[in-house]
Amino acid sequence: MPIIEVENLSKIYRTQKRLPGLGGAVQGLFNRQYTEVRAVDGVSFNIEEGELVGFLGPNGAGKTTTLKMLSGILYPTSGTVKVMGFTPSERKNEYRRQFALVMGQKNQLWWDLPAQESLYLNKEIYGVSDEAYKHVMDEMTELLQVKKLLGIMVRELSLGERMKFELIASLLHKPRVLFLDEPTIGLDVVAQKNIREFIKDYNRRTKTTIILTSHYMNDIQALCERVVVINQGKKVFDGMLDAVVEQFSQTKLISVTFKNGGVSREQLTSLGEVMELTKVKAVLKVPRENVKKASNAILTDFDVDDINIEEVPIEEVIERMFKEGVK
Amino acid sequence: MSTAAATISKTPFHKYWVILSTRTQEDMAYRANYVFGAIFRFLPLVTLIFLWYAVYQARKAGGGDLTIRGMTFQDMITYNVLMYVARGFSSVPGTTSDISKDIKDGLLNRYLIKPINYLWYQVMYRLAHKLVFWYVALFTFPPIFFLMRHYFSHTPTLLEWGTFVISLFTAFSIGMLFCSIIGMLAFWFLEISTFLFVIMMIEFFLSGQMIPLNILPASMQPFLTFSPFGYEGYWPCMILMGKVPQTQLPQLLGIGFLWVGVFYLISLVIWKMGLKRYSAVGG
Amino acid sequence: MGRYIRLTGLMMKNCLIREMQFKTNFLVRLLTEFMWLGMQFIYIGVIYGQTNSIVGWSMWQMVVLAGTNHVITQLFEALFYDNCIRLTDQIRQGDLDFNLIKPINTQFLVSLRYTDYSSIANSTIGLGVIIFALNKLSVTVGWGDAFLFAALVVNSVLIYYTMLFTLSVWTFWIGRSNNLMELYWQFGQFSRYPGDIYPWLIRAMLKTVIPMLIVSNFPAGVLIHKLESGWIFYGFAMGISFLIFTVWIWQKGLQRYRSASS
Repeated sequence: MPIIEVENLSKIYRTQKRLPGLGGAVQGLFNRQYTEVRAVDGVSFNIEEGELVGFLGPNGAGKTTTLKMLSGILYPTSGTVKVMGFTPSERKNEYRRQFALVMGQKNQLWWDLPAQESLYLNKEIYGVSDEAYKHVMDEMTELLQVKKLLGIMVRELSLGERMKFELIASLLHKPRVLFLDEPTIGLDVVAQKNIREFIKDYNRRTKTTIILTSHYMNDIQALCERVVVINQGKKVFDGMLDAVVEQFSQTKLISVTFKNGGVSREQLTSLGEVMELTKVKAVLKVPRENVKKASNAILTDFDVDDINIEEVPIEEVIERMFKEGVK
Repeated sequence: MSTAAATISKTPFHKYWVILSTRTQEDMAYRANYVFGAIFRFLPLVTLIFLWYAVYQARKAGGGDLTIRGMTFQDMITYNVLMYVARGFSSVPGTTSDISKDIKDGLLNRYLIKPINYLWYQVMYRLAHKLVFWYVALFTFPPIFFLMRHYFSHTPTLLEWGTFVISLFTAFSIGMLFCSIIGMLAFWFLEISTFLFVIMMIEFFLSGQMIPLNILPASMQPFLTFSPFGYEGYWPCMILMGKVPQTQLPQLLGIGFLWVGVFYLISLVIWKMGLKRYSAVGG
Repeated sequence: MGRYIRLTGLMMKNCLIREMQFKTNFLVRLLTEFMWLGMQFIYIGVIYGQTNSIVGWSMWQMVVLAGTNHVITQLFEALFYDNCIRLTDQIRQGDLDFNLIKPINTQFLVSLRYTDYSSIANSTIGLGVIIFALNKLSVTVGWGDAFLFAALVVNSVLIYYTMLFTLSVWTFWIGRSNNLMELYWQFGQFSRYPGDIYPWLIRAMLKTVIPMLIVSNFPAGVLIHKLESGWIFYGFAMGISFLIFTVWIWQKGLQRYRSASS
């Protein structure tokens, strides 16, 4: 039996329509018009115990809203959610003791206190025993290398250090299900990598079911086998990550900076699709299998200052998915 | 060329108008909140009416004088109602804390790089607040005044109306300048915003919002008459109630203007000195 | 229950650690409230300068009332005021999220998170004022009355809490309510004077829908023997009903929570 079952889930917001200008504001005082926003629109999926699933989608696609409904923070407008057999929006204590939520954009630690005080408060809130607390703390602070930072005011920590403590605070009670909403947002590359590795390792060791949303394709690629892609509130893809990449990101981008200007579009079209071309810089979209050949050609044919090969941004991959349809 | 010239010709007032109107829109967006606040603002009147009624009744029962320092029960209520109008002009909540916060958090830089005068920006911003306040008051004040009409025993003369209107301008100017000056003290004292309530309370008391100033001990009267705070509430009310002899009106307005002038100069000096310090410290 | 008491203690401890970092703030708040109390006494002084007795209350009886009111509002401000004010922001800015996922009563968590220690200190000043005024009145208070007074003070603090909490929860419906502070101030006016100054209709309202007379008038009435015993039971009943109401409206409001993202 799946640990998370979501069936036809929808969340509709009603927001006031504002007419522009001062006149509009005055009018709004007396006569209000509303627009409906379908943040999540009939989404269904199941997740088995121990899975690590990634939620993909552009900004405002409905990923976070879905996670919040799974956490019981938001009431669904319609549809059903079952997590470990509980309905999250009832917010039963039994349920809340068994899951955790980490949000990259919001923090639960007390700003003006050392992190350890917040952690201890969480211990008491979750009713974690002294031995278990000590054990988890030793292990986590060791793994995340933050033992020395326990006594420092949260407001003085870096974003990455804070996120590590957020993770610890959420894992004290050993949740069976863990929701991670953009846990690496705004972090530098090293911190991102640390957090990513920690999550991967944690999932492997404890078999905790994890749902992860992220902007960064790197996060998803490193962590998730399975992804659910959501756009404009609708689920558009649910399957193996490999399938997404193979199906929708068959190209890479090559950006080249030339030492001398004057490279013409015609000289490049044979290598790949020219996305951008200025006097000294060009960006080419090249099929995966041709990347090597194309870059070799560029390096021999032109006087190159710098060359860079990168993945097509995730937004573009998703955009492509809609264009070409999903099987 | 022509478009640039057109934009510039709209200044200096156009940009302030945009600030004003943007701010007003923000306020309007929360309609319920505003109407709610506007109506409940009059709640204290209920207590005041019955408390003073009880006081005057007790004096009557004791065979005492039916006026207190020349004020009948009706006068006392009228005074408190008019105070709403006067303070509607002179109180500019948030000014001090906003200015001190801008200075303390270094947000001032945001304004310094724009071609706009920070203090005028603040004035416009507050005027927008007042505009919304008076727009809503258009619907809430008349019914209240109508309800209270029996308390108004004095019909103001044209001269009194005129002086009253001018005194309201003085009230706003003094309130605005005073709050700005206190806010700008943050250039030197970072903790100034914590003293805000203390300062507000002094203003509350000395403007006569709590008790008509003439009821306070006689020894305090000279000070109270010449303090700038009386112009934020007490004097406008007394003028419209006809409690100020005609011959005294010019003198009263004169002192009011003098205070506006003094506060304006102080604010300019403080701004200049403060800015020097601000850039020296590096914001 | 034991867990909730322990958590309350823990949060209060956290606030103390926090407070120690901002000493000026603490002192200024102390000073502010002290001044405010002083201004109220000036007001009472001015009024009693005109007459000896108002609706049967002497000046020192009025001071007992003012002192009681001070104790109650300060205790309320110590425990709940900051939390209620913060709550409106949390609702609007979507910062309730973490409170909602904790396996503990959410209302408890949002209502008791912050403690203001300067107000606790100030409430003791109010107590001093009461004792001084009772002394002037040559009233001695027995243990029974003292206990009843304390119980009614707790009840009053809870009534204040339920009122401000309800107003904060309104934010779920109206989107903003920064007039809260002002409203608290304005409702507070009603509890500062004897209920007898009002005509019966207003008095009835102030004992039911806006129970500002139950607050302060009731506990002070016990001390100066101006409260009939039937009202005591009524006061507690109202306190409990209001508390139950907040539990209900909090749940209703949460269904409208939008959890705006930053």
